[in-house]
Amino acid sequence: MQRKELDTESAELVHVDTSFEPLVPKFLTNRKKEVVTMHDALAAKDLETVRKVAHGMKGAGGSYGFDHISEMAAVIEQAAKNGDPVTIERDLPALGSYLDRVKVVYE
Amino acid sequence: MKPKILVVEDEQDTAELLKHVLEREGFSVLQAKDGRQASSLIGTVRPPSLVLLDLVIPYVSGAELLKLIRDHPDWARTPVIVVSADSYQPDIQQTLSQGATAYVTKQKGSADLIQAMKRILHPSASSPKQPIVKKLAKAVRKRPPSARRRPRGSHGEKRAA
Repeated sequence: MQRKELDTESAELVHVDTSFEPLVPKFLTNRKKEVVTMHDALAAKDLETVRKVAHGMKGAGGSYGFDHISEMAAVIEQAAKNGDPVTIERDLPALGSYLDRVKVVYE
Repeated sequence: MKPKILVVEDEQDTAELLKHVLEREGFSVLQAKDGRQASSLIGTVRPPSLVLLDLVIPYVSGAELLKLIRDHPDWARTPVIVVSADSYQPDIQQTLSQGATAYVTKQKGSADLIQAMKRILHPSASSPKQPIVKKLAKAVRKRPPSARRRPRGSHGEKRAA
């Protein structure tokens, strides 16, 4: 399967519904914790945990309007399903970095 | 009285967001964090106005819950919107054939979900100019474009229930 290239730079600014503002900091903190969880699971060769966590992140990201988080999580989920730790090793740091850089505009 | 919505969702942040959005839209929310909690509600409480159902949940799957709802005499006619992170078309079709009223993917900040809920709970009040929910349009609502130009009563709504 051809790898879907993800344009992280253009997605760093995310426009979110103002009413979501009280929920977003916790949402982002929890996604960062999940990156650590997936990193630890990958080190333990536990791809099932990676798959489950990535699946949850895919849905949560989409629900909050962070579609890029959802897309990156979907790639990791699919790699875990495929038993492909190389892709996860490559994309997990990119996801962590994106979570550190993303800026939210409430509107 | 506010319409009551049962939200079956195991991901905590998503569940909180759905509760927040639904209460903002004037609904009363009952939550179940897994399939076991949800299945214990079926038959022990009065059916809600609508169920929002995640498919991938612990203990009892969303598909199994859907069957429990459709097989229960009091709950069988309750609309169920499946809310899923997955958008694989064959899975969507299968879910609809198993009795889901609609299937909405978790995208774009929940706007599609609210549209779908309003169409199901208040079909005659939904503006024909509102954008049709993407998955709903493909999988459930197949009204011809000409039919969207005038308001319609509830008899005009087609669902997969």
